[in-house]
Amino acid sequence: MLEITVMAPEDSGIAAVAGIKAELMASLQKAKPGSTIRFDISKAKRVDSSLAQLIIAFGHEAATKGCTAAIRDGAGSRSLPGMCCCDSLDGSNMELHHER
Amino acid sequence: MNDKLIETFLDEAHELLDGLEDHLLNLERNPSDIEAMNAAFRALHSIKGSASMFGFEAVGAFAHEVEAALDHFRSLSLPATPELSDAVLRSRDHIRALLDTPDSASTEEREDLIATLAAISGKVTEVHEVPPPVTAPKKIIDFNSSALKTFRIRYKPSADAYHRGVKPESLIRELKELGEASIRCDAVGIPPLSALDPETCYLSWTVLLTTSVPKSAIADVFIFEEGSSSIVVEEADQDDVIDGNEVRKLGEILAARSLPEKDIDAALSRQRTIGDILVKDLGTPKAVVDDALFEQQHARNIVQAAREESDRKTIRIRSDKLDGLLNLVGELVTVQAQLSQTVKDSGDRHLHGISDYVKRLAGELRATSMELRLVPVDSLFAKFKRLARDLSKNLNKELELRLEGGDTEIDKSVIDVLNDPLVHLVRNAADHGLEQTADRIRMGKPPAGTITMKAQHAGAFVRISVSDDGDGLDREKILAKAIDRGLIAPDLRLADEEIDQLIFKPGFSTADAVSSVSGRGVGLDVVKTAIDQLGGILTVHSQKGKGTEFNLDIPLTLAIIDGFLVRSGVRMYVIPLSSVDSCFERERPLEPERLIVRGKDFIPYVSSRDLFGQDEEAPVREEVVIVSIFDSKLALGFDQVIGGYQTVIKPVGEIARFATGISGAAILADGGIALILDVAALARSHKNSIPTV
Repeated sequence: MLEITVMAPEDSGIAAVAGIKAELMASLQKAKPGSTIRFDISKAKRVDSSLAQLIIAFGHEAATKGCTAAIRDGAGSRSLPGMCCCDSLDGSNMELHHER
Repeated sequence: MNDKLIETFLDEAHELLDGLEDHLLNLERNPSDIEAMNAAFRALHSIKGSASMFGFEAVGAFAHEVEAALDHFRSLSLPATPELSDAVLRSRDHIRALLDTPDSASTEEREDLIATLAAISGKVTEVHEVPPPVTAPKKIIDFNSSALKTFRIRYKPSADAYHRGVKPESLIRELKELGEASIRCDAVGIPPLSALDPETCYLSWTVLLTTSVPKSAIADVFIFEEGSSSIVVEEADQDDVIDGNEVRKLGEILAARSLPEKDIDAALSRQRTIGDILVKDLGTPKAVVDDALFEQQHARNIVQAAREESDRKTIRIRSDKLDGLLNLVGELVTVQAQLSQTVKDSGDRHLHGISDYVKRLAGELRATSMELRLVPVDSLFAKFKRLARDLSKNLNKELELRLEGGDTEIDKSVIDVLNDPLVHLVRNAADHGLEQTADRIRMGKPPAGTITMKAQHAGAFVRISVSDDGDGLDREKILAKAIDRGLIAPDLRLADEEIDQLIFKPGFSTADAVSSVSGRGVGLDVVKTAIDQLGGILTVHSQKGKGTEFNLDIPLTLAIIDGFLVRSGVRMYVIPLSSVDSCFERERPLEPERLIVRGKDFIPYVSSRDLFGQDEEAPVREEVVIVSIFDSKLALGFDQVIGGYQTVIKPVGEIARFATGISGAAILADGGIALILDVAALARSHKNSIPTV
């Protein structure tokens, strides 16, 4: 199965989300059903809620295409609740895979 | 930095480390235990925060690394792997070393642990540029204050919020600083990626904030959002969520919000979660149930925080200060006894009343001082969970540790001394007592061996036992070893119990090979010496194929006891009152006796005159005191029983250590001295004096 990895840049805040979206969309177009697209945020120094909603949308899109969306190193301040400064997040992707 | 503050920090850090160890052991047993994971994380977080505050930078930095690894699992709701538990346990030991003996904590070990944790978390390289969220230290909130209010804040940023340079999460973070907050973010409206405008905000937040600040302070947070975004701040009525200190159940909350009772009853009868039934079957809007659940969780957090605040209402006192207090109380008790005697001799009624009052106060002061020094045995037992876990790994034996009677209280100084002997006994039980797992299965035993540590009160003693369900003592091997080492003559015939006692001989060890666990030439004589020095008794009982039990009978206190004053000739003796079973008067027997009959009991008897020697002529009548220690009884004959006497125990020095039956001395009201009887030793030495029929 095809595996694609998209690296998040150091600055993954609001200024960068449009570019990240373009990269993720490109990878989704390349992917076939059953493929895994890994979004690696381990190098991201700046993250915010705009990236969180992008990741959630990415999960939705991947699921509709039959692909697996995986997030690498999304823990602590880089977790979805961390980015949104909340204890719980309603409507986030159940289909999103988290990798260490 | 104030030394006292550092001392307090160290005390608290040690407690947190003990707790952390406990949580990690629980996590190792049940890797999906979220509570244990959260508790371990909280402990590490507290250590990290306070260590940095008190200048223990290395501890703070290292704890941060460990916390990050744990948080990685926690935030992704991943179960803890055995590797993670093991690495965090080792990290916990390293933090302890950094606190206690920083010079001995090696940098290599620290780096190795950080690398291990990073590898476990899937981090191939060090990536810690993203700083941990900066949060101001939480204010201590007085939850009993009527000034506290709970606000429900709903914040829906306008779609162009990001374009306007607004960072919604930063505003939420500001809210968090104002009090105790529960925050829910709604991401339901986010479209698939292809339809998403990445610079449009689709998110909204609901915050429950319990705070003492006015509503205007909350409005101030959103001052630049007014008119652009939707912000609703309303006071939430928490009375229907919290009842006193208890958080109401969801059904109760919804009933209070006018939801039909019949719907709630119907939901309850279906045995599914009430929220699920109300939404799916009964058409209750999901938002209504979600709101109630959210508020319930917030209320739980508030109540929990209030409980933690209440727990903080204790003070720490150095144990040497308590020792000093107890010494002073001891002196007071002695002086009070002298005062009582002097007043009695004077015949002054007025002084008599005052003296009685002083006596009562001294007694209460003594009891309170003693209580201050008592700590539950649990604090000692808790450390053995880790030991058992490590032994199981090192020896490759399945092992279960059972702890019973942890709430039994014992003097702090005794607890401190007991640690090493108990470690020795548990190691011994695991290494020599329990069979290898395969052997146990072959013998039809459960694969996991059990070591049980138990504490129980018995009068003035606490019995702590360490037992295993292993193979029992190998008496043939013990005998052979004792003969080989010249401890006994080859032709000596010994009863089973006597053979068992040989294991307490100095240097005795039946271990065939020296291991890292035990069998290092340090025998059980070390344990026996420690128990002897406490005035206690160490005994062993073993059954072939069934296991071995060591009993440590330790005096409850080493300082002051309620005594029973008796006289024999001109000498005075004190018997610990808690050991006294009964007493009676009788004609002194003409012939020497070895036992007396009381009801159905045959009780060994000894006259104090025979025991300690007495030249004066014996009176015609004698008073017999029956003492009882665990399952042994002994009748002791005296010339006169004087009565209750509060006794400050004074050491009697080396000479009396060799006199069986004497455990200390007490100063009497007239300045004379009474010897305190060691009834346990006396009962034991006369236990076998009942003639066999």
